[in-house]
Amino acid sequence: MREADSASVKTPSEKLGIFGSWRQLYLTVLVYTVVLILLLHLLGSYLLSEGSC
Amino acid sequence: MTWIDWLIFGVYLAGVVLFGVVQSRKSSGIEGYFLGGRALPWGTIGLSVMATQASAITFIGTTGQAYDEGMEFIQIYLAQPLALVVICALFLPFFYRAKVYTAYEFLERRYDAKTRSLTSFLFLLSRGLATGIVMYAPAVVLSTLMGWDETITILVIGGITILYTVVGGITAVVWTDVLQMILMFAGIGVALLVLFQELPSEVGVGDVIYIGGIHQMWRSIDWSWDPTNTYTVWSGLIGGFFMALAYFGCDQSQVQRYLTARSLTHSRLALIFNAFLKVPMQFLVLAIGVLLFVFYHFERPPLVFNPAEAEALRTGVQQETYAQLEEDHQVLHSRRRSSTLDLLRVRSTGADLSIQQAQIREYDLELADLRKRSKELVALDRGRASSDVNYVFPSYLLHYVPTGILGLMIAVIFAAAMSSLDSELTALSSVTVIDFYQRYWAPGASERHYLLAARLATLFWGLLATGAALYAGQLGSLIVAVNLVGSYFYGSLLGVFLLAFLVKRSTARGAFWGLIAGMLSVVSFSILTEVSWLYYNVVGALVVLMVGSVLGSEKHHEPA
Repeated sequence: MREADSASVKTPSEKLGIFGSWRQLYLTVLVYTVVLILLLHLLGSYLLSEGSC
Repeated sequence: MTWIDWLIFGVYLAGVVLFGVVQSRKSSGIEGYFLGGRALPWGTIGLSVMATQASAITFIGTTGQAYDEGMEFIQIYLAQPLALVVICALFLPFFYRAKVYTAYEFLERRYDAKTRSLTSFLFLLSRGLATGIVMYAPAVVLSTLMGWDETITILVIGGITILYTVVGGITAVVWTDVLQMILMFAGIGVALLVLFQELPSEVGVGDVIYIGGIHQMWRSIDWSWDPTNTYTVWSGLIGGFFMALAYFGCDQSQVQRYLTARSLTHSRLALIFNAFLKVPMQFLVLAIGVLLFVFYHFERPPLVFNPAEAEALRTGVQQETYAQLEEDHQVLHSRRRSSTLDLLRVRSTGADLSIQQAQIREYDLELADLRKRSKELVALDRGRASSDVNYVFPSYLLHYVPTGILGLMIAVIFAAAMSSLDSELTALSSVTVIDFYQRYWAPGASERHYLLAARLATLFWGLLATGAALYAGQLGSLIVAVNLVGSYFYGSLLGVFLLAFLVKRSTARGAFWGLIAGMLSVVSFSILTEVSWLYYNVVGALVVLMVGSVLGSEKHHEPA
């Protein structure tokens, strides 16, 4: 097997302080993105309703 | 510009060169020159990744876009955090453990020299001349701001960037990027503060938000399913995801960044840092554009912000039409200003405002229509599309910001241009030396030999980019063609890497022909459909994966 083929793609279990593990950090980014989209949507809707009521 | 502005700008230029040269002493040898000795910490790399992505045109162009169309541009970036997670989990372990210098070097380890050379060549082709545009576009705008000839501006941007990049390699690039990114953050904050201060005293923060809302400028999310529209949440999440994967995962200017990290953990943290900060930063940059829109409710904006284009219209064959547009613009703006101030006065009484709001919205639409017609006149007069969107923010800086702030903001735009250019130069140099010179012409030469070759390659690409920028006006169609090759190639390149990571049985034959099929598919897709360019990367990547998987299953890959 070639060197590049042997690299693991598994999420490492290394500890990362307040973020817990890599898996938890990745999950945090996922949640963050969803929250960001919802916030932008809600903010836009609120500000639009303020300006168009 | 006053002497204080020049002083601030001069301190920035001198500081960048000195800082770059001093920092470059920390590394040595070819690994030091291209990868900083693989010893840099995540915070430094994280800021450098961000600075590389933030070009000057992103900085001045997106504020102009927000001025014209509101916050919807932000949707392109929404999938970036997710793409960065995929790169952390999938791409980085392969690159890091293979101990490669370039992304394309990995493809020879995984497939063969042909696949590596084709991808490296396409990278050099698409980026070589395109780098001239990275310099040319902001140089034109900066020349307007500073009253310099375009040639001088290009030579200053090119000369200084070449100097510290040739001398210091990636270490100088990364550390100057940090300095430049901090300056950009400061610039964004100062621009927002100054904009608020320049508003009439009776207009508060709530009023600014309120006026922006009347014209729907704060609308950030469009949920409609329209693949021909680039600015919808679905285009952003699907097309933007693949675009970010291709840019951060396969473009040497970014891959080289995180290969400089002292460990895999530091590489990952640098990208996660960007995953959290990029969208908020872009939100603030776009908010500058919306604030400009509100600001110009109280001050009369130019109908055409680019002074050269405005002058050409005033004196050209379209002068009568343009004069009429300007007259209408003055009258309409004056009415909108009065209506807006009246609205804000009545608003504090709690009365019903729907009639006044409808009136202002009507004025907004009429003014937007006048601006659209003036852009069409520019296109008619000059034979090419108007670039006025890039002049909205610079025009404001020139006419309204106080002494000292103008110098700072010019330094910020220079920083954005230079931080992208230096990364391109060192990426082009690393691909030239590692993927071609070392691979084919001089394998097994000494460290000193490669270091000299690396410096000469950086100098060569720097001079070529500067030359391309100086003649960008005349190279128009060639540069368009080169950029097209880049856009056709990007998604397909991503497909090759995904094939390498995800399809274990894939072969060099599958990867090579997959890449060709992917590029041809994107060309056909762009000609035959009206779908947004954001989806090109999706098509390219998926076609490579399919073709590569089918061809790979015919004959299994021979292990080395």
